[in-house]
Amino acid sequence: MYGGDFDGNAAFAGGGFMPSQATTQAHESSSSLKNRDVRTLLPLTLKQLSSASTTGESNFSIDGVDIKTVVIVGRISRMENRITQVDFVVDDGTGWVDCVRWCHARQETEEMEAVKLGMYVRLHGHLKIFQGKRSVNVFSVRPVTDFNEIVHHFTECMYVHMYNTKLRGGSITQDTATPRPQMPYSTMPTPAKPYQTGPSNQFPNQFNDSMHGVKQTVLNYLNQPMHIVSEAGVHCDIIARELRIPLLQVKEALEQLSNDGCIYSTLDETCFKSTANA
Amino acid sequence: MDTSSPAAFVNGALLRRYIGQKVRAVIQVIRSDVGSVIGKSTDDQQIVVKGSPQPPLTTYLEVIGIAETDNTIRAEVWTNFGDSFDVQNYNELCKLANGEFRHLFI
Repeated sequence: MYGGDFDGNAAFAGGGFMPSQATTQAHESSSSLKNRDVRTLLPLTLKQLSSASTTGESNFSIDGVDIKTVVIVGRISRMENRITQVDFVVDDGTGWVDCVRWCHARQETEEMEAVKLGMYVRLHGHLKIFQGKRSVNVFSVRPVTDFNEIVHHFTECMYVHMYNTKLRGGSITQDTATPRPQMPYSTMPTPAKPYQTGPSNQFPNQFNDSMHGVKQTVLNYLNQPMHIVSEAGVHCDIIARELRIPLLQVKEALEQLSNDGCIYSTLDETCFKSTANA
Repeated sequence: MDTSSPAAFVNGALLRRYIGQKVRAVIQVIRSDVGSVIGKSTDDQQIVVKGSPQPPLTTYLEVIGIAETDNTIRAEVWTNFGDSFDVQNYNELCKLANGEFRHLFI
């Protein structure tokens, strides 16, 4: 279905910081995942954190994903202010963990002053192990003010767990049965997470009868950073295949978007690029 | 770190599974008596929470404590959850945390 001798894979291979087209459309290769996993921000329950497997002092993994930075939401059940750091214990109902927040700059001290014993907080930190004891080296603590955030956090923990165990490493059948909330739909400029909640919401659009939905979907697709940095744009066959929208509809949407000034054709009348700036 | 005494997310129906164990529930306060608070669980059942929280209480209240009977919790920790809280979401979380995703919680 490729037009002429246009090689989509070659065209996208040099696409800057995003994985190449070849790796995103296939089941993503482990090397590209590895690269992104290094920077993951992983929401976990403390039960999950305590069951994470470890190979050394700071190499943890869970559900096949390396743990780098964790997100925990829980209640501060003990707290001790020291000269250079605050030691505290966070309990999220599934367990508790010792935490250290080093306070050097004034901003760090002020951040910790807002946090009191008994408060619910959301924290970001690194999981450490020392003499067999796990603790978290915290670099951000924020009091929870809307308590729906607690529900949201645990829901996210379940979602990410399911994503990492079922969707990503899942079989072909699972893959085709459920829309893949994966890379191809990324609208985020920095895809640091191995999963993305936003994109999946856009999938309902794909079989929408109204042309508007298809147009928006196609535009979102072309607005992905990797397509914006690509010189050659994206071939309409690839758009149709990636979005699972019939080619005729894609072509119609492309024509309308082109008339609207949202996109323009590049190599020929079959390859398109968004007019948005990267 | 320790995960030996988790507090299970419960609604009214799930409370009876944890009698004698630690639970956490969000209730909508109906009235406050001496030594107890009467409230509505996220699945609309009446729950008695024993203990004396520090007033003032907001509409929604999280209690962590021991499940004594199928409608009583002896509270150890009270947290005001404010006046706008989505109980349906919490109720669904209770079900998932005791069902398909139980192993992530307890």
